[in-house]
Amino acid sequence: MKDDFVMPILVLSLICLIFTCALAFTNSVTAPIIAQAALERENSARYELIPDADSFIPIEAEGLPSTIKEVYGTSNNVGYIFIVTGNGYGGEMRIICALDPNGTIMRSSVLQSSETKGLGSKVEDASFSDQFIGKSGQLEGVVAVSGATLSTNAYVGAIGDVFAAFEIIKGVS
Amino acid sequence: MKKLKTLTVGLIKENPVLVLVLGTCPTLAISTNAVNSLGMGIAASAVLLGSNIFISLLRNIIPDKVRIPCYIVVIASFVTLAEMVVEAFAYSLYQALGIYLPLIVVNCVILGRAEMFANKNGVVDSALDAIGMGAGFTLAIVAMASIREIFGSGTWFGMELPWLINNNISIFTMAPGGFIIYGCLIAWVNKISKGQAIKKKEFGCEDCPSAAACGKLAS
Amino acid sequence: MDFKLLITIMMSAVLVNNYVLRQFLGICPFLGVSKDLKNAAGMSIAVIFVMLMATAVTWPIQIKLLEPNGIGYLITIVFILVIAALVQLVETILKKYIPALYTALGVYLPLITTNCAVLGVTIANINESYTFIESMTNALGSGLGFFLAMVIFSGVRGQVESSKPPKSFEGLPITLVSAALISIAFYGFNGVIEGLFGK
Repeated sequence: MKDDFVMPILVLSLICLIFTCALAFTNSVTAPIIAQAALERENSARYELIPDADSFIPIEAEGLPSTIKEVYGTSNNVGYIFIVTGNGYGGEMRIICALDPNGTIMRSSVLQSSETKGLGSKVEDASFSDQFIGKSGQLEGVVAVSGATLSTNAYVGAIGDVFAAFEIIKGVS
Repeated sequence: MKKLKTLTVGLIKENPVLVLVLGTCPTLAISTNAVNSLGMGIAASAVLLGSNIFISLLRNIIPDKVRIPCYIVVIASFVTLAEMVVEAFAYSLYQALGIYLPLIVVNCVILGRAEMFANKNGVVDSALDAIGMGAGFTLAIVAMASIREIFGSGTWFGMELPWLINNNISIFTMAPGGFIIYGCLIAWVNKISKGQAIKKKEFGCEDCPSAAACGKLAS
Repeated sequence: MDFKLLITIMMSAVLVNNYVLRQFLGICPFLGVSKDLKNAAGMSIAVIFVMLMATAVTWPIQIKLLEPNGIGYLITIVFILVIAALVQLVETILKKYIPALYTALGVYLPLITTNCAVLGVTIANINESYTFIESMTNALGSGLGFFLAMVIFSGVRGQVESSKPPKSFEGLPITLVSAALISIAFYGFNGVIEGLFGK
């Protein structure tokens, strides 16, 4: 009777313990690789937009629009990087946008999205995102991707939030 | 000869996706493009191989009472292991699979094989069964993804296909397309096997091969 | 507390990102238990119940216990065990103290542990870095979305059962194809959230 109760618990706990240890070991091996890769990925995306930057400094500010996920300034003050999200047709889009110190768009691109292939996914093409280069504050004259109003609106809205955020952080830094 | 049969039975005759109709969630969700499906297939097969081997090794030690919780611990550990490896070495796949990667743990193919096969057979047989079933799962999900990607996006494994790229039918890659293609594939298997192959006539829990494992979990 | 955000999360979980029809989580019970309205409703209520319970338990475990101690990577293994134990606990308690509810939901409870929608919603809450209140809202919304999909689909199933499809489509295939049609209908909700509440 006693064996019926003790043994199962003992074996289950033992298996839990052994496998948890194995996982802890694997984690200690893979965690640095993951962290390193993540850093490189972020850096490469940022340097691609502002190649002249020395290094990027995270900026924290109160009252930013909720869609703004991350903001970075540059140590040699050549521009700002904004990571912003928008709600497209296929869910959340993650967009990266670089502004120069005057608030003019240097470049923007989609980091991650799940828009419909062939329609909404065209907001990821340079032909769409290049329209934004040089604009500041006003987004008139952006030609929507035909058949993908939602994706276009999500992108335009996200860039609008970037301008709003820029107005806030301009005073801070 | 028997070993060979153990290996190949999962590939066609008892294909987990198309014949046993297990693991439907990842099949439908990930099969929008062939590369990710191949990744999903390999990840799930690796988990299946690991868990089958360990459960077969431990089958005489694990008390019957806590059998299912033990399986879950073993499977979840291998899933976590797979998560770490994929995140470290194949980040784009990690992002593409998203929540479906940890959810391999509730993929009924894996728990089903643990309860139905590894629990009763030796290590070598269990490993062969896992390889066969894993290959069957991968084959089915990649086949389905190929259909959806070729017609839905006009690409195959990311390669652009002439003409189709400009004449893609978006619904194939959208959620409804998944249901339709899966339904048609099963209908096709029904047709070529003259209704003999599919084990489940209805999608009910009564005749699901995993029902035993599923139902016993909490009882 | 941002009330608008909560409504947005809720609406999004119920209509736009419906777990069953858009994200393919919980397909097994969706196709398996949707044959008649009574079972479909019973199963869905059990799922809503477990989703809320599971979120209420797993969120604090991950945020207060695992992550501060640097073992956040145990999320999958801990969550599935917690859900399994929770379902068992709920079953025992219901059986003993609320037999009426047990007779209504008892049959479905064991099936819920391997329902990927439940594990899915708990992990998604962590991935989306929702607060506790947001997580609970998301869990409720996902549960209601499951309920909605199940109830609608059980109605459709009734019609499909009485029709006569081509021979090779009988049974499972025609069920999947009709699920596709419901899924198309849900695509109509795209953009509703932004339209109603702004971004």
